Amino acid sequence: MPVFSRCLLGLLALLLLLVTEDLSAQEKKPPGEEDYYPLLTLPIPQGVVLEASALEMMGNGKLAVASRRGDIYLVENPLSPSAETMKFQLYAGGLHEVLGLSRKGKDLFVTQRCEVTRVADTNQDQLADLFETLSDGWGINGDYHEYAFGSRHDREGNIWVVLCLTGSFNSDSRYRGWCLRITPEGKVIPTCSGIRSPGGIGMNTAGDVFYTDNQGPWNGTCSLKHLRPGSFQGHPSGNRWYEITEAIGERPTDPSSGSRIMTEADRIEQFEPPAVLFPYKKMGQSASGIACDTTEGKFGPFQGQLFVGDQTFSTVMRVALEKVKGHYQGACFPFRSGLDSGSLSVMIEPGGAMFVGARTGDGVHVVDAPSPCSGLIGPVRFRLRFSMFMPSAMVLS
Amino acid sequence: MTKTHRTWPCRCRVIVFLFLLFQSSSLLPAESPRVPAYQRFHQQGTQPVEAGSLLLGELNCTSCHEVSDAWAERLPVKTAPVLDQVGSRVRPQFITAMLKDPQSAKPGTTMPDLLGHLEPGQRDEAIEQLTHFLASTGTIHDTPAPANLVLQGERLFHEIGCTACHDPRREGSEPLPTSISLPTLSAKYSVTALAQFLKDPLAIRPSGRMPHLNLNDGEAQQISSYLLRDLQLPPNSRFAYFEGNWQDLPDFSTLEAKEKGEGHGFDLSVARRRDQFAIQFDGTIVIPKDGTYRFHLGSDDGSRLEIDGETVVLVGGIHPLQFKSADRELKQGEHAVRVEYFEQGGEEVLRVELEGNGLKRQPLEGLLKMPRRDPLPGETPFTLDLELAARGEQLFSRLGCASCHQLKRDGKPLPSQQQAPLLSGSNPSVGCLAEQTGPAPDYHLSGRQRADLQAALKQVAAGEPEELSAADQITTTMTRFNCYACHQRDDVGGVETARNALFMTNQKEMGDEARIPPLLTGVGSKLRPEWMDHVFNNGANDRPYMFTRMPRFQKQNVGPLSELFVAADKLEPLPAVEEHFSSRQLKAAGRRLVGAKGYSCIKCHTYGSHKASGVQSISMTTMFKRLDPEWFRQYVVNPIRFRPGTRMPTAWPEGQVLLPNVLDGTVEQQVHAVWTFLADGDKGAIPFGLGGNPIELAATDNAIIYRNFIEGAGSRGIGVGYPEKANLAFDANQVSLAMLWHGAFMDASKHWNGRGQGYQPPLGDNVLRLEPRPILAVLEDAEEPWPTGAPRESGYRFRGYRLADKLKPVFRYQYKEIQVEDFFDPTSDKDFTPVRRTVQLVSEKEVEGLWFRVISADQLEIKGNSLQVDKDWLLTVSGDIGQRVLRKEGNRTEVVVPVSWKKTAAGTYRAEIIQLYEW
Repeated sequence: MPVFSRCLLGLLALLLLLVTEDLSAQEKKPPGEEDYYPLLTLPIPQGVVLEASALEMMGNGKLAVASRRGDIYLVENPLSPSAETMKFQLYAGGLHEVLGLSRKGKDLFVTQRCEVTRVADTNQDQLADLFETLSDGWGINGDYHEYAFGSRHDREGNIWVVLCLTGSFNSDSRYRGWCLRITPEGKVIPTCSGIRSPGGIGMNTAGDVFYTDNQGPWNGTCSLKHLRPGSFQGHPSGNRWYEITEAIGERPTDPSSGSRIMTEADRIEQFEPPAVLFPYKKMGQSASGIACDTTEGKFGPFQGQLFVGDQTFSTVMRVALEKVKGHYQGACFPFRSGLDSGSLSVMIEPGGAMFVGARTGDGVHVVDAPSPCSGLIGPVRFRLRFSMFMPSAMVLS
Repeated sequence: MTKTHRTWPCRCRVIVFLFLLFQSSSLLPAESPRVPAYQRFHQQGTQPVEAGSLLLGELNCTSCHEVSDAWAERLPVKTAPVLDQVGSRVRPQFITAMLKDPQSAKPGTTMPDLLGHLEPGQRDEAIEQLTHFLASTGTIHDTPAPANLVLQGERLFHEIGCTACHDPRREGSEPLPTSISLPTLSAKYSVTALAQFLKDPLAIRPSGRMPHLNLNDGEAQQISSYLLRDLQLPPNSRFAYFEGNWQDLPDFSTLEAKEKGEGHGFDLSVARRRDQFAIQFDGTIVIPKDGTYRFHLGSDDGSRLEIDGETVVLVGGIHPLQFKSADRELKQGEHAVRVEYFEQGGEEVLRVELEGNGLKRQPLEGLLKMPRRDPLPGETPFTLDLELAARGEQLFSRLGCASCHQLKRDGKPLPSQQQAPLLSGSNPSVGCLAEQTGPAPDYHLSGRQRADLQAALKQVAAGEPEELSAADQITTTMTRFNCYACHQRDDVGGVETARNALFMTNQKEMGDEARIPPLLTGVGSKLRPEWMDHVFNNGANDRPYMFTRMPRFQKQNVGPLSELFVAADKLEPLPAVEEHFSSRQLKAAGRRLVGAKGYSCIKCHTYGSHKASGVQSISMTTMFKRLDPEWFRQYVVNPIRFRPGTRMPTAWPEGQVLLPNVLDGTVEQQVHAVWTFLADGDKGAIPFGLGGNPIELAATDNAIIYRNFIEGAGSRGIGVGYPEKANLAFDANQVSLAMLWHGAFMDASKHWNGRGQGYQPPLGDNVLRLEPRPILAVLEDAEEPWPTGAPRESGYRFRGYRLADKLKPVFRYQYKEIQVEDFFDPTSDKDFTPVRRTVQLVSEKEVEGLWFRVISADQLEIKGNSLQVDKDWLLTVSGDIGQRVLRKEGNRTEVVVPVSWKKTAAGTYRAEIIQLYEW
């Protein structure tokens, strides 16, 4: 299932603040998610169509927001409580469906459908003027499904790119269904195979990289999968490309249809079973962006846990993982619902606010043309009543 | 001698009634043959020779009376209907009636009575034998006219042009003297047979007097049902009706029927209420030949089909319409069929169908035969007698039926043994033309018809025909085919006042132009002859707002009519247009002129499937193939000259140009541009102002970039729109320039509204598509072919771009150790501005043997410093290059130049090459 439909993406911020307030006024009604994590929606200026497909913090505290239409905006004071002090500015345009942003120094590394690009402002006029192709080492052919999601830089400076198949069943262009690592020099390192339809990519505190894959052939439900280098993620259509690379060894045996994941994992050496399977239509229907809480408590007691968006359900889920015998496994929890606009990209900034790039609409993959004003969502704020979740929630993590 | 009997399944009361009708009509004064144009134009007797010549053809005189070739050409005949399978089309009773008294059975018929000279006893015998013979060629399959089709059929009959030649049949309609009258059609045809005839009348009546109206199956069935709505057929099934509340098909043997009776087919309307009932139908089907048939049973709610006592298909339970199917092998002949049905609640539907063994899927009702029973009193079923038929066959040849009617036996038409005198030598006072025809055919001619025929025969007897002018030949042809019923030409003909209201439109705002078929005065200068022939052979539907259809007459029938029109109507041509612009520039201007930002032709004319914003007049995409270029040129500047009363305005009133900035601002070039644009027909670019909701990307102060799937520039396309209204697309896969164009930049709606798939072409015009191949290569010598294959393989890497002044991109790529910067800049802000390309090379090393590829093209001409490419556009190359080398590349000519490096103070090497594109 495609992660991006063409609905507008709004930009929501989940902002955590530590507040001490008198609770007596609300004793009658038990507190809910919205009482701990209020929502704030960034005020989007008129004329800006934001399909917020990727998010990144710039070094100067500005928020970079990429749109599916190929623009990148910089938002000044994105955490400001007032709309007046927040400023949107177009930084770059004309790119092809940006699905990954990573800052290094002052430069943005942008993953678009066709390539990973270094975008820089060489004359410091607040407008990007250099678009340098770092790597275009994969194929695209015009099919709608051939998306490319890019990670942030890993510890070695590589960007990880997960490449959606051609449609649901085929791999008609080079490395479709694979994860590639792009080195700082632009070299391509084929890293994993078996990918179907990614919805997001992110890292945990150990530097291990995960992506979400979507329900469809070879994927009974959406899942969070660990991109262990050399692994096969379960969908065999892209395995034809083992013919052109020896980077991750021999082509694995194809899985048997109708079998079970753990049976196949025992049988196929390279097969990496999903870390978490999201119960279909209970937790969500199209898993999307991934963020790791590295705020050391500023976002709550979830240090090291992953937060995963779901487009259809307009939620953010929480995932706790542990590594057992070299493989990740874990559990997922509902975290925040009511985003009401289809969650896509997710990011937690160091100060403890979560940003969710979201599309507007009714939270399903719709085929209708978007209404031009539906991208504007009024601000909502998250508040956390710290004392309330202490006893039970802490134990779980 | 064996005697075979075949009983007709469905004659009876209706037939008896029809016989009475024939009897009574024979009491009226006998009609004369009717030829519409004769009725309309020759009642004054002012042109007896022309009138007589018309009759000589329409009465098919020369089928019996031989004439010289020249006269045969002058007198094209209306041939008689093909009778190959007349038995499957026409009821035997009607054949008998037609033979007995043609003018009574079909008033106004041009079929003569051939048997008048026989003694009454002999005559009846001959008629019986001929009837049996003709009936032996096929079998009528009767089905009732579905009542639900009648209304549609009535509408079609009165809208599409049937009533241009036939009388309207609505209540209160008066018969008109210029109509071809119709017999009581239910006495002649079955519903299927008439529908088949209407669908392709030319198969039965090849001479085209009854033209082909391009009816589809449904329309033919509807008109047939309307015309035969009076057809009453005997019941062919029995039913037993039950009431009760069941969840599944009940066991009918335990139930007592509320009502029993006879009906037609499996008709649920015999039920007395809408819910909680059941019906059991019984009948007999006649299977035409041994084989396997597939039965389909569909119902809401449950049903069962039983053949010869065995269940074939069962659709049990309560449900919406649901079909099940089964195959059954059946022998030729009769089989008992039973259908059981029950309805619990809601909708009620029952469909029983079969197919296979040569039969298309059809209702099983069509094969139903009435269960055996005693004949009704007065019923005279027809029983085929093969012995009588054999004698009829001989009569068919001997009496001369075969002179006019084709009837094939074993693939060969039966010959005629009738002998008639030469037409030139025939005595006009005896034979067919005498008061008492004797053994000659009796046409029931009127006195005037006789006189006119005699006048024409005098001409024939006088020798070879005189040459006719093109205009006279056109008149003759339009008369024969009754074109004048719809079309006026040179003040002759056109829609009769009495029929005027029968010509209708759904675009009343357009006035009479929308409903009255076009004037044919000057048509030979307006339409291309090949288009006229296309219309003769295929009919036309280019005016969808006009309900009357232009039918097919067939080129072979109307002869050289298109050439005659051209010869008669030739326009004085204006001086030839001087070619000042390339055809791409003209198309671009033409597209702009017809669109919303131009003269807005799109307000009233559709463009293929794109609707106009006002009235929906004839589509612009059909104009080029239909219209003569010279006529178009003269028409658009003064439409009223050619179409008096037209609502078409001119865009250039009195020669004024309202958009002087397009091209050179002359009427001549702008009209030429519109015509050149229309030449693309339905493959043309959609005019501005039509089609969808584009998201138009446009450069205003700065250049604008669009990276996406761009048609012509690949999956890594980079479109650049410049404020000067020039645009380009760079193909990053091929590391090369792919297209240049002018005007609008790109429409992003496909990629931004959809899921982002598919290739989007440029939105603008004057698109120059270039071969997307890299411009640099290291060659051994000037002979080595330019490398093919993926640029990556030969050492290319795309490196992106940087933005220079006004955000114009400088493309950057690498070839081996050479860094390339490739920059494009429009040279002016005028229409169709040229674009200058500056290629800068930098290398640490002096790369030897480096060549620059200027162009490869089918046709190249050197014009001073420039190259003219494909006689169409100019390319100029300059800079750090050596001597130009022209060489062959397959069938094309390739131009390459060596690159001359310059050493810089820093010790690196540089070169700059400039190309100017003027297109």
